[in-house]
Order: sequence, then structure tokens, then C-alpha cells
Amino acid sequence: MITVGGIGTILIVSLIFFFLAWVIAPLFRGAGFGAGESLATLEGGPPVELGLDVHGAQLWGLTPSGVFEVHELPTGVEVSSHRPVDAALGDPTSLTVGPARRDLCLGFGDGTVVWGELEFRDGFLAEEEAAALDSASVELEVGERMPLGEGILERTPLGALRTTEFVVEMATPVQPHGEVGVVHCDVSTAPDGKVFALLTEDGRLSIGRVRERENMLTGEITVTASAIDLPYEERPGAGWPEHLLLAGLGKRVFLVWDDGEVQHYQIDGEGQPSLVETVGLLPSGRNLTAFAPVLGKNTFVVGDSAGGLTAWFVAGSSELGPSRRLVRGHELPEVPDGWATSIASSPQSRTVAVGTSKGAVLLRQVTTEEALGSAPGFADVDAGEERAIASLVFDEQEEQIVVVDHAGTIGRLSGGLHHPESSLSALFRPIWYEGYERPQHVWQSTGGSSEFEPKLGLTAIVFGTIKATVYSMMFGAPLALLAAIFTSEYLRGQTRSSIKSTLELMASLPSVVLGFLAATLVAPFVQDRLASVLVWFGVLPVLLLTGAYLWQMMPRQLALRLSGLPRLLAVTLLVLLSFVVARWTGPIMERVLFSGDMEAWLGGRVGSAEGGWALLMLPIAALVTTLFFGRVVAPRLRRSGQDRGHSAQARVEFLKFVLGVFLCLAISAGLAVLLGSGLGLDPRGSLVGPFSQRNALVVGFVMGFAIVPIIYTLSEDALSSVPGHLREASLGTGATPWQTATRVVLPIAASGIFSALMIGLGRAVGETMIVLMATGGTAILDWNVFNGFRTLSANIATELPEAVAGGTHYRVLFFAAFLLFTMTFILNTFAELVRQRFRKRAYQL
Amino acid sequence: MWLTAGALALGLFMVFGLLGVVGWNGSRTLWPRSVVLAQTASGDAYLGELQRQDSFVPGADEYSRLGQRADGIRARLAASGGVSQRRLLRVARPGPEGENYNLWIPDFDLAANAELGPETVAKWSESLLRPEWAMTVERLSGGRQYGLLAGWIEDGEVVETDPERAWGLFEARMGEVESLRRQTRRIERDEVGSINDRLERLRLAQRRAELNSGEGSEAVREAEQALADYREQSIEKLDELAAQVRESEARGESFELLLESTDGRETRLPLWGIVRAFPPNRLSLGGKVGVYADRTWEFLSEDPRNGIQEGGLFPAIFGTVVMTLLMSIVVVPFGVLAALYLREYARQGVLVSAVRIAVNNLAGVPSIVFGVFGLGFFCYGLGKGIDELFYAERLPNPTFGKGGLIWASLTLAVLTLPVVIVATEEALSGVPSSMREGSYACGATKWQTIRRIVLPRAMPGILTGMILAVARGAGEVAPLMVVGAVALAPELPFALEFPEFGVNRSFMHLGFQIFELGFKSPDAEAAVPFVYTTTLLLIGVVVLLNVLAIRVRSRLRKRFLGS
Repeated sequence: MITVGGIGTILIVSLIFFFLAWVIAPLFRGAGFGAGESLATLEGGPPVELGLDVHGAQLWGLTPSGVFEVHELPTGVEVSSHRPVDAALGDPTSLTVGPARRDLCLGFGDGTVVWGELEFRDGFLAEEEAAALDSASVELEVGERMPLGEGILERTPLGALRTTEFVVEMATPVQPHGEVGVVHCDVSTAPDGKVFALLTEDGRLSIGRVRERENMLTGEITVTASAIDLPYEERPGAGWPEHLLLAGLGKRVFLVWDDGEVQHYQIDGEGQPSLVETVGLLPSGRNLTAFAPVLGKNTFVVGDSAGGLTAWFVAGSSELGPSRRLVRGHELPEVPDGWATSIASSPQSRTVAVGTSKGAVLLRQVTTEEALGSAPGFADVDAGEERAIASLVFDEQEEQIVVVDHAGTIGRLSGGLHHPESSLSALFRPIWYEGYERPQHVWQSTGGSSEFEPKLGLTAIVFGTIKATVYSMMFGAPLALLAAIFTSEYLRGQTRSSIKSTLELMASLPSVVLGFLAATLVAPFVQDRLASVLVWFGVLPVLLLTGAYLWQMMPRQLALRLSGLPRLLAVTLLVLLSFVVARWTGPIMERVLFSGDMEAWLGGRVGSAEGGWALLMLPIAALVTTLFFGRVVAPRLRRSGQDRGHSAQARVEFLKFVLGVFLCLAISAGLAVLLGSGLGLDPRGSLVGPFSQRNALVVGFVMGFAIVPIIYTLSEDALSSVPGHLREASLGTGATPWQTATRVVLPIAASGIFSALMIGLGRAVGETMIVLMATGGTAILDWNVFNGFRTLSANIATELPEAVAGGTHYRVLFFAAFLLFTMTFILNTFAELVRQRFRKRAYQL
Repeated sequence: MWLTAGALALGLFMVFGLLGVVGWNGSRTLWPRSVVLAQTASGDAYLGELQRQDSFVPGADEYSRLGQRADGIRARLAASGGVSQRRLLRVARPGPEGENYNLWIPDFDLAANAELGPETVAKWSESLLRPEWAMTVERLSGGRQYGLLAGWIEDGEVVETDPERAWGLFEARMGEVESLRRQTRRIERDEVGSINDRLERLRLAQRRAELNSGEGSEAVREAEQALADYREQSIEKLDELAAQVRESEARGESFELLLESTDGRETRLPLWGIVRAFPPNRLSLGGKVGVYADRTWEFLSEDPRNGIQEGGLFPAIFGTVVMTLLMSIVVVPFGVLAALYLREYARQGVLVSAVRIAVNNLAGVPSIVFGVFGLGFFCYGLGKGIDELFYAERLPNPTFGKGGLIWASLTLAVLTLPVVIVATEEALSGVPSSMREGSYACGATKWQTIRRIVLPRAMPGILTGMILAVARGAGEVAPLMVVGAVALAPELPFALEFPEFGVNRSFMHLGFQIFELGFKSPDAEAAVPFVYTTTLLLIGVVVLLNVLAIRVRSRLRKRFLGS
């Protein structure tokens, strides 16, 4: 029984790993669409546009004469046919259907433009009602369908009777340009209504909108169209453009010619229309073979006669301005055999299905430039009679693609796109998102509209995790190690164990408490007294060292007698004193180096670069000075000092230290002048930058505080497990306790300390609450100490409760957790192995 | 060497500093503060509680607000480098529903200071009045109201205008109203609640019958009948209860406290909506201690009010304790079994040491990862399965397929499992093999040896592990955010209902409360002191558990050494 329980527990443990892996696995599965089956053949040849209902039971095709023919699938039986406008208008000269298959825009030879919305409408019928309409409905089994009136009746899995009917709702026709034939028209939905773009045979291009006003008294509806003309430039010899696209919210129009030339028009913020640019979409010698806007209508995909596929959008933010240019954002994997004849956008994501001249269907993710998969076409059509795809369409769930080839054969491919936005490269490589200026690492998982594209760049978040870890280790590790050395080498007995257990108690402090204090206490304090806080990092060691040198000058007898608790008290006093000194010198430094206002200096508003360099170079200067004194001055002093007495030597040492401090300041000032004025470099913008209240310094400080206990305990254990006889031998040969600690004990305990650091690192990587509460939470890639960041753990904690189970976002968050899990697991395993080796070695000694 | 000592001193300083800050701020939140009257130079008067003070440099907009007084004040502040002191006052808009807001009052803006010469700034304490009958009234909703006690109203008529006697009447009536309110709450929560529960159950029974035997079947008709019958019965009962509630409410509303605000307007506060009222400036030390104790008791035993910013945290305390209990019930047996297996049964080899490393490392895996696992595996995996099997009639509303107490406990159990395993293993390895061999030599079986000899000896270690696990579990928040902790739960996660006993409900948790209040509260100025108190409580619990662990360990160790 115990064996079962034990093994069971261990299974649970490994379950975590496999469960996470199992959840994230679908992210990296490509799209799977099997070979298609041909269903039926349409009599009148291929339609211009296609649409599917959500149940995959009906297909509409829009014929060149502007008639919607609705067919039942898979039989292909015609269910109904709709002519949305008066037949007297004749055949439309322009037909446009939006990428989501909802918006329709028709233009006619007499200048009439009309738009509408397409919908499959569901309704439910009671048994009796259905039987009254058609007695055959009683015998309908679950999943079976039959035509009923203008629609289709189906028995759902729950046994209800559902009718689905195709409905076209058209707006009132308008003639914005008078009775001039329409060449192209397009319609978009802006927040305040429909916007249309129109090109007529008199060479007039305009963007306009239509207002419907209802007269309150008569109930009469008056329709007024207002339009802004764009300066259309004719291309002599090239004829009319092949396509017109009204992009985004209706401020931008693209005219695309057959040879790949595109004219880009816009109406800017002041309402001024202009031709922004003329761009060639294709290499010379190629022709445009397919053109389609993708979801959101801000990006369009073009296919050329050599099989190339490219996606274009306007770079820069969605605001209007002269610098917004059309760019080739993505080059999608080419069509391997033949060329694209038709492109369909998915209604859910920036994914397109490409129908080729050889009858195959290819799937391409536009944003990540991934080839998601391909289907060879209809399995049951003989390879000899390859037929080009005329038109194709996704269903709502991205689970079916219906295609129609040039012979009018309807084919259906079933499968799934799964998670098209995610792949390893999409998660970690910079991605050029629609509207951005350049490829970037962006994390923005949720947005307002259904057309929003989730941006799941994990790199910035992983970077934030590393930044948090580095800064907190910079603060916590030295503190913990130094404290551990003191505890193990200088303290004995009761004091030691009580101090140790106090610090260990700190480990059990809930991190939410630390996070709360960081946000309410530390962050405002740091903002208020930024200069003092920074100065304090320098003041504390200087003061402590001063104390040490002064202590040396005391008579030896007295020093020995006071070496216990009084000394520790003196140190504590010095620590307290350092706060006072820093509080006092901080504003002075701020005035001297940073023009009196550090926040403004960081924001780049006042001051020069030297001030920042002087502060940044201080640690380097200190290192240089220490090396110089250690290698050059100290040996000479020692040699010449052999005949000096103890106190005289102490005085010389103290003098040396004071000189060192000044030298250090001088070096950093010199470096600052050299870097700032000499080389003209400015530290702002890289290591330091604009200040935000919740920043990496605060997190580093508080999280450092959080990891101190664990590093302290483990390294103290490592230090005190160094056998006593080694220490005694060293002391016996005349070494001071400090020399013993640094030259004998530390090297032996090094691997143990290393593993302690590793474990502390692991703790810092996964810390959630402190980061969550003490940082701004924006995912940015920079090392600025005074800026916030977003870490994997905080990201999971904030976003997971809102993520839809099973969705891409949800699984990507699981992937983030998996990353954290593996990162810490590797760190910890490594630390554990090192520690075991250390134990063995310490045991051998 | 001084550096190392400095580091240690700094570490200790930070620990005690942190505990000191939390202790000081946390314990003074509930202390009744005096209500002060601040009269500004522009003629406004504010009555409220003094929060804190700081120094600031008035900006250009501040001066422009002052109008013609600006020059004089600028001159006066020039002596101190343009820096002035200011105080934060928490005041309330007049009216029974008047909400609280915070107001900074600069020293130079005080009426008393305006009359003084240009060089002197009067002490704040001198320029403030502490009216004797200034009242602090804590309301059920809308925070606190401040005002001067002006009278006592019964049935809409002012019967007393002398504050002293009005206060006496209030004290005499408050007890009665409080007991009426308790009774009403009991009626609403227990009696009406149980009727509604029963109705819901019957409705679900009908739905279940529909699912099981199809629409229109015999079982469905029976269930429908039962539901209709009970509905009929309960309507009468519900009406009766509602009448009772209305009666108490009317009684509670008939007494009103009349307050006068600083602008002379009168505010009538019905006793029904008053939790506590007192004249802080008149209170003796004993009286203040009394209010403090009363508030502390409310904090520990009542539901939160005014959002979650005031009142009590009993649901959060309860949630934390129940969750931790459930967690230890799960984690201890499993942890001990695993450790026993690893130490006593498994053959020591590469595999076992690999497993041991893995278990050790699991202790270092970030807690949020466990939260993610818990959400995916327990809530959306197990929970959804249970829903589909047993609670199909409630779908699509999830019963177990969402965050809840049980899943939070299980998640934390997995999280703390390594702690228990490691501690138990260590304890087991501390049992000398001579004792084991002795037992075998007496003819005991392996199981007997473990049960009678090894386990008792290892008990201190196991207990320590358990307490450490509990301490870690009680303080952990990140995973709970994902698996079911909420800021304000409508019900306690416990009920005498078969079979789920309410463990599937969302729950409140002290740590999560700190996060919600301290991080997301719209009125941070008011929330922060309350968070400090919550923090103090949480730290208290965690530290207590840790100290307990250390005590238990040393005591048991001593006992074994003695034997």
C-alpha cells in the first residue's frame, strides 16, 4: 500500500510536467486539412464570391450578374436564389464582398451604388409548426436536413428543429457621382456608420458616407451622400485598375493594377485628400493573379504569376500622416507549383487560404509568414485534369474550406487551423505586426474588437524576467553572502543561532506583503528621494570601511575586548548613520551632477551627460582603485611598514583608504568627462532613462530582500560545514580571521555557495506578487533601471483568469508557465548536482 | 569584515524595520482618531479625521487659486524656501449617503494662520478645533460620516436637542437596533436562504429528470408537481418573513441621529444604517480602548462593508483557515507515504536519487506554475469531468469546473508536497538504524517496525514539515489568483449541503485581500491602512505557525533525547 501511495505521489509530481506539455502541444501543431472531396458541380460555372453558413450546411455563390445562389451542402441542390437589387438596374459592373463575408457592395452602369449585409439567420420551430409547413419534418433524424421554404431545416443533436435561411439586407441605393458608370466600389464600417469608396468612368475617385435621416412628422427617410474627391491620376495605356480597396476605417484607398502597380490615397487628419505614393507590388515581368484583403482590411495579400505571395500594409500607427507608407510587411512562402488564382481570408485570424492554378489549396499565416499546410486539391479528380481554383472560402470555425474550381465543381476540405498565430518563431522572433513601424517584440494579448490581432511575443516578457532577476540578484546576492560570511566566521553560539533563525523567519514572509510594501512604501520613497537612495549605495560601504580603518587605530587591547557585541553595535550605528549621510548628501549630488532635478534629468529635459556618467562610472572606478591599491600600493606599504608599530600602520592604512576614495571619485569624474564631452555619449536611453514610479530599482531592492534568506541560509550552511581543523590550521599559522575566511573557507565552500546562488536565482525567476505589485507591467525591451517591465509569472497571474480555456492565448500562457518550470527546474537540478559534489568534497576533507 | 557585519546588520535592520512598519501601521488603523475642525482662510470649514502630514512646494496653480492672498503667502513661505506643511483630512459630504473623500489642507490656508503676522506660521495644533460633540458615525454603506451631534429624532420628530442627552438616548437604543439587525440578517441569510436553496434543488431535480428520462415522462411530471407544491407553500412563508423584516427595518429607521455639518446643514442618520457612532473628542482613554476592541472584534468576526475597505475580514480568515486545513489533510498523508516509500521501501539507486532530486527541485518551481497546473488540470480537467458526470442539469453553469476552494486546496497541496516529503525524509533518515535492527531482531515485521518504532521517532520532523507546509500555503497568493480566490465572495465556502458542502465555491483569502485592496482599490488613501491591518494579521498567522514549528521540533526532540 505504501508503495502504491509513494509511487502515486511521485506520479503526481511528474504529472505537472506532462500536463503542461500536453496543453501546449497543440500550439505547435500545423494546420491539418485533408485531401478535399468533390461534392457537386454548379451548372452556371464558378461564382465570383463564396460564403458559408456557421453549420457548414449552406453555401452561397455570387454570380457575375449579381445573383446569390444558395446551395445545400454536400448535395449542391439549390435552396434559394436572391437578387438583392431591382433587376432593372442590369448586371452590376462592380462586386465586392468584405473579408469577413458580411459586407456587400454593388456598383452599376448607371452610377448606382448599393451596399448591404449578408447573413445566415437561425430560427427554431416547434414540432407542430414544422409539421404544418412540411409533414416530412417529423421523420427527420438527428443531424439530417431538408429544404424548407427559402432555407434549410435541420434536427440538432439536442432534438430541436432549426431553420437556417440566407438573408440579404440592402441599404437604400444612392448615386453619389450622378449617372456615370461605376468601375469599382467598396464599403467599410467606421465607428459612426458606413463609408464607401467609388471610382466611376469619368475618372472620379471619392470617399464618402451616407446619412439617413428620418423625418419625425412624415416618417419619410431622406438619404444624403457626401463625398470627398481624391485626386485620381489616370495611368495612360494601363486602363482601369483591377481592384479597389477601401482600407481600415475608411480613410485610405488603394487602387491596384494588373501589372502590380498600386496607388495609395488617403484623407489626412485635417480632411485633406492626397495621393500619397505609387508603389510597384511585383518584380517586373510578373502579373497580379490574385488579390485579397485580410481580416480588418488593413493588410492585403497579392499573388503573382510566378507564384510569389506578399502581404502589404501601411506602416506606422493607424494615425494619418505623411510618413505612413505602404510596405511589403511579409513575404509568404511561395506557391511551389503554379501560381495563386484566388485568395480567401479567414474570418477569425490573419490566415489566408490560397487556391492555385493546379487546383491545390495552401494555407499561409500572414503575420508570422508560416506555411501552415497544404491540401493537394480534390482527391477524386483525376490528376490529369487539374483545374484552377476559381474561388474559395473559410467557414466561421476555420474547420472547413469550400472551393469551387473553374469547371464549377464544389469541393470541401475538412480539418482545422488549430492555433495559427503561434509557432516557436512567432513567439520569440520579432514580428512585423500590421501598422507597426518595424518588426518588434510585442505582447498584447487582448484587444477591443473581433478584428484585433493578438500579439504574442514572449521575448519581451522573458527579457523582463531576466531583468528582474538580474537586478534583484545584484542587490540580494552580495548582501546575503556577506551576511553569511559574518555569521559563520565571526559569530558563535546563541547569537548565531538566534540571528540565523530570525533571517530564516524572513523567508516565510508572504511575498504579497513584500509586494504591498514595495508599492506603497518603497516606490514613493524612492521617487521622493531618488538621489539619496542612489548615493546611499555608495555611502554605506565607504562608511563601513571608514569604521573598519578607524577601529584598527584603537589600542589593540581595547579592540580585542570590544570585538564582540559592541563591535556589532558600532556597525549597526554606522548603518543607521549611512541613512542620515545619504539623506544629507543626496540633494547635494543632485544639484552638482543632475541640475537639481534627477527625474527631469532622466527624462532628458535638463542637464548634460557627464553627471550620469560620473555616477555610472563610480563602481568601475572603485574596482580600478581597489586593483591598483591591492597590486601596487599595498605590497610596498607592507614592505616599508614592517618596522612601523601597529597604530602607525593603521594610520597609514587609513590614509591610504581616504586617498583611495578621492582617487576613485577623480577617476569616475575623469571618465565622465571623457565619455560625456570627449566621445559625446549619453547614458540616457540605454542603461538609464525616463523614470517611472514602479521600476526595476524598487523591484530589485524588494525582491533582493526576498531572496536574501534563502541564499543566506544555504551559503551559511555551506560555509559552516567547512571542517574546523582547516580553519584552525589557518589561524594557527598567523592568518587573521578575515584572511582565513577569504583564502581558506570561501574557496572550499565555493561550490556550495554557487548552488545557493543558483537556488536564489530560481526563486527570483518565478517570484510573482512582488513584480506584479511593484512594476508597471508593460513589456518593454530595455535595461533602464528606472523603468518597469513585465515578467512571465506576473503576466500569467494577470492574464490567465481572463483567458478562454483552450484558446491560443490560454495555451501560450501555459507555454509561459512551462518555460518558467523548465528554467527553474534546470537551475535547481544544476544547483543540486553541484551541492552534492560539494558535500562529498567537504566530507572527504 | 566590516562589510560583512554591515550586510548582516542591514539584513536584520530590514527585517525588524519591515515588521515594525507593518506592526505600527497595522495596529493603529482601528484606533479611534479624534475629529478635527479645520477652518480655512477662504471661509470653508471641514470636519474630519486627520490622516497624515507632509511638506510640499505649492505650484503656480496653487498660488493662482489663492487669488490676492498669493503674494502674502509667497512672501511668508520664502523664509522656508517655498516649502509649506500640509495635512490630509478625511472628510465626508453631508447627507445620509454622503461619501468620504480626502482633502489636503496647506498650513497657510488655515484661517488661524492667515490672521497672524507674515513671518509666523501657527502650529497646526493651535489652529485646529476639536469640537466636543463632533461625531464619527460608521455606516453600513458609504463609509463614515462626520458631524456635530445636534439632536435625537424619534418617528420623524426631533425630541431632544441637547447633545449630552441625545447621546444618552442613542446609547440606550443602539443595542435594541443591533439585535433587530442581527435577527433580520439571520432571517435573510438562513430562513429565506434555505427556502431558495430548496426551490433551486427542486428545479434542478426537474431538469435532471428531463435529462434522464426525456421530456414529458412520468418522472418529470412528478418533479414539476413537487416544485409547484413547494413554491405554493413557500410563498406564504416568504411573505411572513418579509413582513417581519419590514417591521424591524421600520423600527430601526424610526430612530435617527441628527448631525449638523460645518455649513449648518442637517443630516439625519437612521440607526438602521449605523454600525457604530461615538464622539471621539470626548472619549476617555478607556472609551477609546473600548472602541478599538470593538473594531478589532468586528475585524475578526464580521463581513466586510463599504466595498471591502471597512468592517471585518471574517470570510477571508475563514477561507484561509479552511483552505489550509483541507490542504494539510491532503498533503500530509501523501507526503509521508512518498517519503516512506523513498526512504524505506524503494531500492536506493540512480532512479530513487533522481526522483529525490526532482522532488527537491519541485520545491523551487515558481508557485504560479502550480497555479497554472491547478487551473488546467483541476478546474478545467477534473472539475469539468465531474460537472458532466454528476451535475449535467446545471450546465452550462459550472459547479466544479471553475476556480473553487477545493481546487485551491489541492493546488496548494501539490505545491507544498515537496516540503513535506523533504522534511519527512530527513526525519526518517535521522532514526538510527540500530533501533530498526533491534525491532527486526525482536521479530517485528517491516510494517510493524515502521509503525511502532520509526514513525513515532520521526514524528517531530513530520510535524515540522507539516507546519512549514501550512505556513507556506497560508502565505501563498499567486496560485490562488488563478484558481478561485475572489475579492468579495457572497457566501462562505462551507455549507451543510450534501454532497459538495460548499467546497466548490469561490472564497476569500487574506493574502489575496492584500493584493486586491492594496493594488486595485480606487480609494488607496482609505484602503492602505486597512491593508496594513490585514497584513499584520497574515504575518501574525504565518509567524505564529513558524514559531510553532520550531517549538514543536525542539520539544519533541528533547523528549526523545530524554527517553
